[in-house]
Amino acid sequence: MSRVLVPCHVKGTVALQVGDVRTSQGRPGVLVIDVTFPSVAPFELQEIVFKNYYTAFLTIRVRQHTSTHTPAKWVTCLRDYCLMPDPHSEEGAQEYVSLFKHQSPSMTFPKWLSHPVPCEQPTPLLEGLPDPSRVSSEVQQMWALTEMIRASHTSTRIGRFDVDGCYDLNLLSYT
Amino acid sequence: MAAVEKRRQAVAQATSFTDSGRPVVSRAAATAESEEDFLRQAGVTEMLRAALLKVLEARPEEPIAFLAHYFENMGLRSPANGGAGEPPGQLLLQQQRLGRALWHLRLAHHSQRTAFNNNVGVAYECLSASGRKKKPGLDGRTYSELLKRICRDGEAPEEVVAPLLRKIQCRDHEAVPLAVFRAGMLTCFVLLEFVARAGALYRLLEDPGLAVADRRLGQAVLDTLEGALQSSDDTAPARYLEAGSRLGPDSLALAMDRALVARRPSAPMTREEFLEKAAALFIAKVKPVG
Repeated sequence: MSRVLVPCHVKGTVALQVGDVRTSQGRPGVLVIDVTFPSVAPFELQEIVFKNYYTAFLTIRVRQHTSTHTPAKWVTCLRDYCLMPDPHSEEGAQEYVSLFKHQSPSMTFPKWLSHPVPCEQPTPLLEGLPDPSRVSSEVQQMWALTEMIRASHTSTRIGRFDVDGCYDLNLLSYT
Repeated sequence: MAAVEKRRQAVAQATSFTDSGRPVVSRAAATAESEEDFLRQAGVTEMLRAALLKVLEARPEEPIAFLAHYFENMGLRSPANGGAGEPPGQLLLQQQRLGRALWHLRLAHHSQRTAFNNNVGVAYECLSASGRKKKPGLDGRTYSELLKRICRDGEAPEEVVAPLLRKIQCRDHEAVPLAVFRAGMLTCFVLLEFVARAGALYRLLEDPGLAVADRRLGQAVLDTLEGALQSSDDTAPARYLEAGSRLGPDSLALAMDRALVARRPSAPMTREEFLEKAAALFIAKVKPVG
C-alpha cells in the first residue's frame, strides 16, 4: 500500500514558560506546535515523520470529534516519549523520527470512526468525593505544622519540685 | 506634653532674638538648624527610625494601618496616660501589659522565625516589667492568661485548645523562663494555624447541602494524617517521603473511597468534633512543660 501524505497546516511554535526565561541560545522549556487538518475527509493516520531538533521528550495530544452530538475531547496519544536519552548529549538531537500508529497505546487519531479508549483515566471514583488534591494540600500543611512543633522543643526546665503535681512536704525527698 | 510645649516656646524665643538686624539667609539657616535640633531633642527622629525598622521587620500587608496601630500603641505607653488623675489600677495595668504583649506577638508570622523570636523577647520584657506591687519576671498566671487570650482572639474553640493549655501552662506562682515562654508562644500560634487549616479541610469534606461531613470521610482523613505522623525512627528524609506519599491526592482519594465503600453511613461528624480530633493529633506531639 502506498503512503499518502495528509495535507496539514503546522502553526508556529508557542513557548509555555514560567517567568521571563530567555537565553541567547534559545528558549528552554515546553514548546507547543499546533497541527490542524483543514477540511479533510476522515482518515486513518498510520505514521508521523519529522526531524528532531534538540527536543528531549514529546507528547502528542489529539482533539477528536466522536460524533456530532458530543463535544470534542482532547486525548493524549503519546506522553513524554523520549527522543533524546540524555538531553545534555547529542544523541537523538537531530534525528529523523517516525511514529507509528501502533506505538501509541490508544490509537486515537482525528476523525476515526471507531470508539476511542483514552489511555489515561483515573480509577473511576464514587460520585461526590471531595477534591483529593485540595484535601491533600490541607492535610499536608497540617502535617508540616505538626512536624515543625515536634522538632522544636526547649530543653529548659521550669524547675519544678513537685511529685505528681503535689507539693506536700512529706513527699519531697531529702536528697 | 508639657515638656514639649516648653521646648517649642524656647525655640521660638531664640529665633525672635536673632530676628532683629541679622541678614535673611542666616535666619533661614538658623531656623533650619533649630528644626532639626527640635526634632532630635523631641525624640521624633529616634521614634520614626524605630517605627520604620519595625515596618521593615514585620513586612505587613498594610503598612499605613500598621504604622497607625504602632503609634496608637506608643501613646498608651507615654506617662501622660493617666497622669493628672489617679494612677491606673493594677488590673488595668495588667490588661494594658497583656494588650501590648499581644500586639508585639502579632507583628510577625511565626514562619518569619527571626522576627517572631525578637517580638517574643520584647513581649516577654513587657510582661516581666515590675509594677509597684509586682515583682520582676513573668509569673505563671499571666502566662496562662496570655495563652488563653491568644487562643480566644484566634477564634479557636475552647474545647479544642484546652488540652494544649493543660500541657504547656505553668502554675500560677511559677516563674516562667524566656525559653519556655518562647516555646509556648510558638506552639500556640502554630496550633491556631493548624486549627484554621483543619477548619478549611472540614469545609472541603462537608456536604454542601447538609453543612456536616460524612463521618466515614472525616475519620478516614484523620486516620491517614495520624498514620503519617507516627514516628518511625527512620531518618528524616525517609519519613518525609513516606508521609508525602501517604498524604498525596491519590492515596487520600483511595482512603476516602475505601471508607465509603467499607462502612455504612452513620451519624455525621460535626465541625467541633472534627477540630477536636484533629487538634488532638497535633497536641499529642507537643512536649509538656516540666
